[in-house]
Amino acid sequence: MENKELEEVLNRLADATEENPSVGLAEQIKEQIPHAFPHHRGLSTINIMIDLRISRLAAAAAIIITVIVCAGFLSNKTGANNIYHDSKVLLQYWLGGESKSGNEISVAPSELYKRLVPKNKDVVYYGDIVEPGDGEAILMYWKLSDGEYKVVFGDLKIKKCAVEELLKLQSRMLEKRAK
Amino acid sequence: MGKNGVSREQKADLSHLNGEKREKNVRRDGQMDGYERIVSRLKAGSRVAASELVDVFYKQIFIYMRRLGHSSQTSEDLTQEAFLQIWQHIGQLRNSRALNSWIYKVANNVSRLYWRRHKDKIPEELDEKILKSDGKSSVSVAEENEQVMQVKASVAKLPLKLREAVVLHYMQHLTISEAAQAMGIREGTFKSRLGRGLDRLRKQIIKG
Repeated sequence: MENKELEEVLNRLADATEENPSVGLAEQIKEQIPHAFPHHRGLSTINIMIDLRISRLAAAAAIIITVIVCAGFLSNKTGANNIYHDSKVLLQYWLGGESKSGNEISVAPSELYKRLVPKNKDVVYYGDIVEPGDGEAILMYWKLSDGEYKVVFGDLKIKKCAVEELLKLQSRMLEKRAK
Repeated sequence: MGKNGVSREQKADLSHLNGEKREKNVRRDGQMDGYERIVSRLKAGSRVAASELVDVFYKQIFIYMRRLGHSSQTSEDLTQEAFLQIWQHIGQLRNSRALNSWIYKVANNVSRLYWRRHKDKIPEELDEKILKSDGKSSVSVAEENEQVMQVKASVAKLPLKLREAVVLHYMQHLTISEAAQAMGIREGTFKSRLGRGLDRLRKQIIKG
């Protein structure tokens, strides 16, 4: 059967299957008309998504990204940096593999300090004098069980070093500060 | 005077339209204007406008539910449910001229929710009236009736989304654009579903 023939039969089917509802249905529906119609019109995100006819997946992604961006703007500077930094690390890891982000930590320095202190780690913290992003300045360090030191730099790179190297790094930092 | 300063008569005089299309367009324009007026009155809270809306659409929605395979009683219940949803969400309707497709969209959602909650239900076939002979021979009429019955049975067996597409366009006579909006999909997707629906119908008819 050709498409056109089938379409004609479907049109005939429409005529052949006209059916009336029971008497009184219209009245029953009219009895349920509310006295006031709710006003839903607004700039709700869902309505905008529906109106733009974005697919559900794209709409969900857009909503999640919006929430993350708003959280980044509304939270404190450190929080915003974290979201940005975490996203950057994630992207680097995704594109370049683990080696790209192996030396980076995605925790706010102050949060890390707060976590270490209760664990009786004797942490030395220079957060008040170190500029964020300064890869040569020591942000904090603590002693490890094997006698070496774990050092976190201003750009959040982590390095394990012996006491001699730590002293060199500290003196370099102090010289730079003195200038 | 319609939009863009073009009157209905001027629109009807456009030379590239044949007579039938001209009439259809004029009728459609009139219909759209009517929808705009009724929606603005509804949004203003007019119960009279709501009553008029019921008069215009309740039969269409009922027969649409029947054609989707719901029983007579269920179709009446779903029609009532559809109108309850319409009152609830009329404020969300942004384009008043799309009232027709919006109402069918609400009806479609009500129907789908019913099928989701009653997965064990089988779509019912409609009762068909015997078609008039219209001057044709009794053999032709009998053949046509048999074809109609075959197609009717096949439509009831279509998967839901294909059934909706076929019923909306060929039996409820919505345009491709309106039907796509009613189903909440793009026109291209709708055309694809319509095509697949027709293919399936053809295969089922051949199987007998």
